[in-house]
Amino acid sequence: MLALSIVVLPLVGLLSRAPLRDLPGLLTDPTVTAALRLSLITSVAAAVLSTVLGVPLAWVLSRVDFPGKRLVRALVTLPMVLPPVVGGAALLFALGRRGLVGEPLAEATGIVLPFSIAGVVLANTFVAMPFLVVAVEGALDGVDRRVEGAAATLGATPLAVFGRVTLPLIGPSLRAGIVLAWARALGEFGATITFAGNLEGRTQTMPLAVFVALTEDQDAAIAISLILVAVSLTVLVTLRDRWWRRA
Amino acid sequence: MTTRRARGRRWLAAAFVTAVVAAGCGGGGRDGGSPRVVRVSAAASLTDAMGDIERLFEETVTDDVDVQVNLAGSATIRAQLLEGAPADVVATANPAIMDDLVAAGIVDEPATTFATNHLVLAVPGGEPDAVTGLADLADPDLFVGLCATGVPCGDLADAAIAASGLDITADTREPDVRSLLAKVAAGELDAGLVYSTDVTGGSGVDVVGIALPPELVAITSYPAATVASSSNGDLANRFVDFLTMPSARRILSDHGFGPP
Amino acid sequence: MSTRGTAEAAHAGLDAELGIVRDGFELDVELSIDPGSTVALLGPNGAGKSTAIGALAGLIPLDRGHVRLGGRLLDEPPTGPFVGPEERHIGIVFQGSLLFEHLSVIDNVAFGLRHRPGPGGRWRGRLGRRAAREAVRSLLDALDLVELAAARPGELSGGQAQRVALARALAGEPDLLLLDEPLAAVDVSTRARLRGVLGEHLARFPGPRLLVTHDPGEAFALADRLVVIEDGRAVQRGTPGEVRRHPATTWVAALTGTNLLAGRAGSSRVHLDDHDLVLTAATELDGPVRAVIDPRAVALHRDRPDGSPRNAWATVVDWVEPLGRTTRVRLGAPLPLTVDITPSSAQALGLGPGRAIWAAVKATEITVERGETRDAVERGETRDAVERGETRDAVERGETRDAVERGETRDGGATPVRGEDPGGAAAG
Repeated sequence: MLALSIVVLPLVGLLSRAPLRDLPGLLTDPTVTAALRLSLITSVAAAVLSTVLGVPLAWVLSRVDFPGKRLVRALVTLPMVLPPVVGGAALLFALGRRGLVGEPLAEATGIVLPFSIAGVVLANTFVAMPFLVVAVEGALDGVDRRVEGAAATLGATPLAVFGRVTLPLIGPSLRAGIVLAWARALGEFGATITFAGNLEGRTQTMPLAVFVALTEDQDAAIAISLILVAVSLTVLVTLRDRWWRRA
Repeated sequence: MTTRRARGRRWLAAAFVTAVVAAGCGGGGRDGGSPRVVRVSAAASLTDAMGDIERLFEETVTDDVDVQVNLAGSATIRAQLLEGAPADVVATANPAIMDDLVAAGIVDEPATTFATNHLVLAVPGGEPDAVTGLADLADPDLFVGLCATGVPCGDLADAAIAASGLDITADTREPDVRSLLAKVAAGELDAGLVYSTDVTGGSGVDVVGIALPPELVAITSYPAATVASSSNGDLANRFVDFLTMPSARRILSDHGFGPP
Repeated sequence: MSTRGTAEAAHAGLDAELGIVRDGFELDVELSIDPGSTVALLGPNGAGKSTAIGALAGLIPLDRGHVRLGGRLLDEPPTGPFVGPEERHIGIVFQGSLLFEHLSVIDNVAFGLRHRPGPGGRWRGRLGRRAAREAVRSLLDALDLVELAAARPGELSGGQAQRVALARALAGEPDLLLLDEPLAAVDVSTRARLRGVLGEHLARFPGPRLLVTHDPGEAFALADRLVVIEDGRAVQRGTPGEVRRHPATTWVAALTGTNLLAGRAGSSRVHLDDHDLVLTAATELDGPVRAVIDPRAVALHRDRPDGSPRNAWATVVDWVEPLGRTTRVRLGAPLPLTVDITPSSAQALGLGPGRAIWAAVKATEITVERGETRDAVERGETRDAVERGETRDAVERGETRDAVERGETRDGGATPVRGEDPGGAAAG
């Protein structure tokens, strides 16, 4: 009960301050719609990128023994505890225009990540991927390796074993991990504003719009927050019903 | 209705303070209950000057006083005070925000203007060739940063760019001047419009300032006032007065602020 | 490169020498199975059975030795090839089925067909889902699984799951059929029926078949020959009958209910090593011997028996266990023996723990062989435990009796594996 109220009470507070009359106008405000669109695009992209990169990483962490594995595992989960602002700064030092990798990358290919949508996706992925990796690695650890062996003896190549047996078996956890990563990316603020900046229509996601609006127009900030809450809640409720209920 | 609103404001204020502290911009302070405390909410552009003024005030003006400075963007400070955040003195980077606070009854009239500041073009130190003047910012290949609209330095920048007639689009609108400055200093941005005080040697960041043409120099003034709800009004008034005294004026001048 | 005699003869069946060293455990077993014949690899838990399966399946690479199946060399370290599990064509019925929980029964069975390389290479010409399902229909029919085709493994009973596992293993027409403890997870009521199904399909399978089990009932019922392994090594090879009559180790003896005793013979008298009793046998030998007494050869009497038995002694009943068609009695001092009598005799004698009774064995019923009994002396005390554990489980299911009877109909000399005879005798 106490746990629930800790989660719900702030939401009620937010609702109590909702400028209901102005809501329709704010919903069609170009700043808000641009931020919402950008947030949805970048959070989904970050979830996809987290999945594409995170699943193989989780597989290696679960199935391959190598020296320093414990350190790697700790490093992978570090973004979960690191303040996102620090993460954003670290991303700048590594992938910024003057960054360790960013500078040669820009010189070689002309690709500049900061202040771009790609930068937002990268910052989002940085903070979101650990959630997916942790969920999937745990699920992989729980898979009976002998079942995978059985599939191999039936002629399935290692890749086929993974695709046809392992992946379906960890399906619920994988989907939960994707949703967690998506949700984390949707709410991302610190790493995004530090690494990708804040520009309406390009890098200003919903949380950034909320932050900027808070200093200027609180009603707008609350309205944007409510939209963010509504979108997240809708997706989480829908996916939970459809994905997390085991057959 | 009002009570519920007030309660909501307090919650939001608490969230704000937490956010500010988490972002690493929290003001300093001393432990110990005995000294009287003056809580100063000041614009982020005052960061370095306010630190020196705080020390001087504590050492020379009166014994047993602890000045605690909360630094944030002026717009953020306004939001904090509107939400009921505790403060004795407020100093903002433009009069408009102070006017809002006066209108809301947060501060007593009249506010004292204690400094002025103007915008300059900041470019990363060590490579001054890329940008030599405002006109260069029209180059779409350059990365240009401005303060966000609604923040004094952002509004000033918008005004200056509009006056110049140049087609300058920003790559980012930073929520406060300090984060803008940090990105210029890191070389992530090729140029940014910041306060002249931010590019003086004392600011400790590696940027070079380029003055704007005289017709585009946008000047902002810094008002300070005692917060009406201050439980420490006398001391707060003395701090506000202190800001215009020669010793404080010298500190402000050293940090690049102009006279009121 | 030790014994390659069998490998050189073109062998259509399985020819394997499994050498694996892992975490201080060493497996060193030779296996040779002709097409159409069933070998049981029998041993206690931890004997290395799982490792042997992994090595044959290609899930564990050999450290030394070789695996050759149907003329194909699958593994021969250090220089030979290593064929991965997906290309070995070995159908395995795993312990606990290991069905794919996310697939229906029919898709489980069809799984192998969908992953076998097609005529056009690994990817080209492989069967699609529909074709694969179609191809396994008759197999489902043969195993009485048609009605369960759409069911998920989670909805199946243990016996049904094992039938599905058998169908899955057979569907790809493998070169070797390997059954790993196929009855272990099946409840008693369906076990006999499932064993019948297994036997039927084993008999129909044309290639070599390997049954891996710790349960002598299974081994005796389904296998033509046994290879008994303990601590990673083959300790005995032979037909079920041979193994039962001449158990090489205490474990084997305990499994079959056979009493194996170590002693020293002087003429027809056998002085038992650990027990204060002298037996009289029909055989005349001198020196260290092993005496084997069939549990059915021991007669129990209320009073001292008159007549011919040369060996009769007063003892007490340690415990009594009804096994269905027979009743197993364990005697206490001076000579702990396992005795099987009919339930009616047990009732007539009023047997129960602590009951004083007379035991008698005819001299002709005691088989005396020359040689030390491996482990018998050291393990004299653990023997009870062994018997009460695994063996009793097996016996409870009423299998030992059948097995023993079946085993007895076969014949052949004893071929216990000794140190100087590394198992070649059983290869043919």
